[in-house]
Amino acid sequence: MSGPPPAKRRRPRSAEEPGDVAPPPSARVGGGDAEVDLVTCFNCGRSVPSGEYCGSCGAHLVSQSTSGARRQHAFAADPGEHVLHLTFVSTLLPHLPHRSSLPFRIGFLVLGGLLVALGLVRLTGPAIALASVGVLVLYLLYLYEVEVYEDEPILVLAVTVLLGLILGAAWAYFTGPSITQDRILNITLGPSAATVFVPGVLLPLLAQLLMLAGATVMYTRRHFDETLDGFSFGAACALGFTFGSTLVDLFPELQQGPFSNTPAVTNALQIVQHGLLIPVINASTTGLIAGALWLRRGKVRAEARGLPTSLAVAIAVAVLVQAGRGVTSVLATSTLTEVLVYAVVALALLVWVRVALHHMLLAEAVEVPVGPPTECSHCHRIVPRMAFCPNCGIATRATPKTGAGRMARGVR
Amino acid sequence: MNTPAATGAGVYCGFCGSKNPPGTRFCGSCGRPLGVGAAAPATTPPRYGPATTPRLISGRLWIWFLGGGTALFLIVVMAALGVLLSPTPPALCREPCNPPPPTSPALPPPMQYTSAAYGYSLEYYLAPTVQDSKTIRWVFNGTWSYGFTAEPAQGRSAQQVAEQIKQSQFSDAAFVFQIPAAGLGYNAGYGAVYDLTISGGTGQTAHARLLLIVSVKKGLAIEMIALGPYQQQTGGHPNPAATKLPRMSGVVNSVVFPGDAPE
Repeated sequence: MSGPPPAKRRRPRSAEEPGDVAPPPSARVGGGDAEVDLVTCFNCGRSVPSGEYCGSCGAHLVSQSTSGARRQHAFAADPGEHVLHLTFVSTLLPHLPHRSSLPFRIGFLVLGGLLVALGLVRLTGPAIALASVGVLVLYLLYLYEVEVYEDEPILVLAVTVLLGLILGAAWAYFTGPSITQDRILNITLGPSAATVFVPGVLLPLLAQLLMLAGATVMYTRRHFDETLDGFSFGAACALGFTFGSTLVDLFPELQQGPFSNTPAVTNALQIVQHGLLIPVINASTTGLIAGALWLRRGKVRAEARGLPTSLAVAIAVAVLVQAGRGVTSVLATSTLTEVLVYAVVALALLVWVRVALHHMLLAEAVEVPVGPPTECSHCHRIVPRMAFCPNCGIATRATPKTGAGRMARGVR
Repeated sequence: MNTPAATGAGVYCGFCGSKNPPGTRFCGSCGRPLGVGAAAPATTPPRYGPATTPRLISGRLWIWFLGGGTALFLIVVMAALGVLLSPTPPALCREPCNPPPPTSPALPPPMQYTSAAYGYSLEYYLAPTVQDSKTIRWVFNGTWSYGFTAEPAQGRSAQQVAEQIKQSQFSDAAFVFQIPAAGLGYNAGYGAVYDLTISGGTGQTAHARLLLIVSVKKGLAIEMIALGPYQQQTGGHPNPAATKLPRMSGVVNSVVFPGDAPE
């Protein structure tokens, strides 16, 4: 028998999707009259519109090699960046178009600068407020900008951010004093199994479970079926949780008065730890687990194989990170040491999250339907609607759910 | 074979059998091409034409102002709380200051601790939490502690020993003041009070005061370390348990170096 290999199964589109009655994807593109040629992808074997990337599996067609299939040079959520490129914005805010990321990059830089400045001048109240709410505000702006919540903003924000906030505040109120008590005993009497295991391992893992509560509730909403939906819900819930717990944990600082007695550098390190490192770590671990969970919705996504997309690996990474940071916190006698460990963990975790998201988006492509020519929200070219933009290679499911991205998914 | 079957109403996919509208080139169900044979491998990618000039953000700027305003509001509220919640300095006692009469019953005879490792000794009243060959330590309210230990001085002065303890165990502590004429028992030494904020990645922030007193004699350094919650009402001194401190404070004066006669 000759001909292309058997096609992977795709989820049938719903009847109301515009692609059913639209012209074929390769009819006319580029605003001109030239039709796009079809080529056979060396990776998936499908006939796809000619372009730099396979619109079906995302492979880099020009490379024609195994490395082209993995396309490490082009992150699936932002093909202009390498998968191992270390950056907050395209990792934690993967739906954001590259061009729109500038205000958020500035936002993160301003937040970091303000946290350091407020820490150095030891202004207690504003530093605590900014450390608690800074990353969350940027994330809420991101959710609004890309409309991850689709037509249900109130439900999504209540179940993720608000629920996380309530759980986080309650968690810190009931467990915070006992954790501190064990930390003090470790400093003065030396560590023991009880004063390290409970506050350093057991409680952080329970906190991680609570951070997943919102995402678990959202899992029941079947129409939020994209991996990045899960990632975003997990991250939002974790940031709500971190906001609540940070506010409660740091509140006793206010009793010192408007200015902290802690040395300026130590104070700045603690504020950066609470305001940037902990939110990033919590959002990453929770988003990672939720993303891997979402990838397994239905039967089709069982095709996703490999360590980066594995749910077990995501859980193992989260357990390792949360227990590691918990043990560091209860044992460290120096803020500098603790913050350095947190920073290394946060950066390594960001890299792993990028690798995982990249592979999840590549694995998820088998489900994305083919549709009519539409504007790519990343490169802004008119391209056939496919799992990946044939021109720039961005995963369609990593585009915003507004405007062209909404059309590219098919209006629900 | 995978040849699509054309009918009057549309085209059926040769791969999955789904019906597609006439003129469609890709199957709407499985995505495979309809009526297209094996295609050539990719060589030069085509250029897709630009559609629009993208905007930096969605254009709904009000949400950015709302987000920034919310953060600013919270910052102002917390700053105000910082001022409102700051503790009021304790009222100073006017001369002549009349302390309340003692209400504690007479103390029982003290117990004796002698370090098996270093030979120093002291008297105490309350049962210690930790007692081994070189350390005796009490823990109050499950958290705050007060205790003594010893180590070879190795040529260091009392101040150097105290600073090394502070650096190794309490590196975040901030120096507040040096205690004049500090000592252990009838032995001169060095004493200092430090501020310590315990605020890590987990747990509630706690504000504490650290008291270190070290005395060095005959090559031995005896160290007293007390850590207690910061209490503005008591002048910020470490006060692990106000009701028990009067009994504990006598311990400092009973410290005796090995070979010395008790005073």
